[in-house]
Amino acid sequence: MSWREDGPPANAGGSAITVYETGDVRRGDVGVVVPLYDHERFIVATLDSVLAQDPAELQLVIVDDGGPGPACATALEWLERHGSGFAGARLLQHRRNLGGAAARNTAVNCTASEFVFMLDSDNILLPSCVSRCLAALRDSDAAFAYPMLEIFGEEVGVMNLGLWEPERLAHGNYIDTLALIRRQAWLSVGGATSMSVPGWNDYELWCKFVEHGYWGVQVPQILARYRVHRGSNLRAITNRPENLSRLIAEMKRLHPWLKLSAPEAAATNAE
Amino acid sequence: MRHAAPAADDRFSDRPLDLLFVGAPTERRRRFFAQSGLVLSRFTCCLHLPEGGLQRAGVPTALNPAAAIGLAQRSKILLHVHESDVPTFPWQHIVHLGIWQRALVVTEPCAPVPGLRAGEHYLACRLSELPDLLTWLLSTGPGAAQAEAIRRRAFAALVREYDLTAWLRSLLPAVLNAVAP
Repeated sequence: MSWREDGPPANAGGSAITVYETGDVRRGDVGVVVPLYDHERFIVATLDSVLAQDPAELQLVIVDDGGPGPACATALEWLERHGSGFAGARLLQHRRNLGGAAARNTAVNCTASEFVFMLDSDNILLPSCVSRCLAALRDSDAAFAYPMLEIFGEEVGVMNLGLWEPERLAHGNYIDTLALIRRQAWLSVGGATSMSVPGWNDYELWCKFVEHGYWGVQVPQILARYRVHRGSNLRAITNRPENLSRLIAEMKRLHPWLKLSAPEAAATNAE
Repeated sequence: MRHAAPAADDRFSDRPLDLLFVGAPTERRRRFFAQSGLVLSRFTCCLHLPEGGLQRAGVPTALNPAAAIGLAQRSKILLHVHESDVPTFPWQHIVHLGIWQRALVVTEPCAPVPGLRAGEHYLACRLSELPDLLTWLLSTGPGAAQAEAIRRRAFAALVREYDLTAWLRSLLPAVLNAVAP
């Protein structure tokens, strides 16, 4: 598998303004991508966990997706104190809310790193997460590496337990967004797709990877924490019955090989 | 894991995987691993918790036995956590995947079996104490020394106490009698 050819920028759906920038965004092997929408309560813990990663030259790109609260100001304040701890750091802002897929595309388009790490703004990395995922990709031809996750907050448990298995994906998602992805793989499938209902960006991306012959490798230990809370998209919007029906129809149209049914879809881990 | 299988007389410290766990993800195990994630993330672990049983839609979801044994032979510690509150002695985990592959077995307290004793041939402690015990074994000199001694003693006891040749020899006459015309 060759990963050297450049792909075109993914569609971000609109322009973004730069709120903060420091360092050299072309340095470092890994760009950590954090889409931000109204998670002011959680963003500092999330960013602290990126700063605490084992020795690694990281870029950090935060994209505020036009959220209503003070999350962007909190992220800016954090970057002004800690931004120099990265090879390069940026805070971008969409002028209006474009959704998580567009925010991720905006972030990936402004990095030049070989790998991009997808981190939602309410989750937390354990210190060896990026380095262990990077080792897994360096040691394989996989397009992305995903760790097991600890579920915390309003529920307790573990997730992302399954090995890569396209046949299982046909029935529903079981791999969360939190993953290290080869930037060229991301670009070659056109990046994240904006769905008609918020959510399932990760599921849709894995399906495109299947269709391109790409595969993922599980890093078989718990390396990050997945927060369950009432305000998450999955709970507040995606899992409403009428929205689930729309998403299932949309996914089947985009990927006719899927065998999704409503009960299976409701049990999905996808965000 | 692309490392070649270690020699039979390898040292504890030579094994590239710090810890291996293989088992179904019951609620009890999910809670344990959720609470131990931070501690275990400091080590190189392989946790295999296949969801949905051994097969889904005709596709195997669990490691095949050869792969599990290959991982065990490269692991310092084989961890066992009971599926439920019933403290059995899961022979296939503790003996076949652990002692027989010369890994140190660390487990919750188990039902007794002849010839293999906790503290002597494997280590047992309460679930809440497992993270501290694992940290001591994997990150201190005295811990590694104790691990080395126990896993060697366990293998020697297994070979001594469970001599397959002797068992087969004792069974053979009965089998021959049963099939004789």
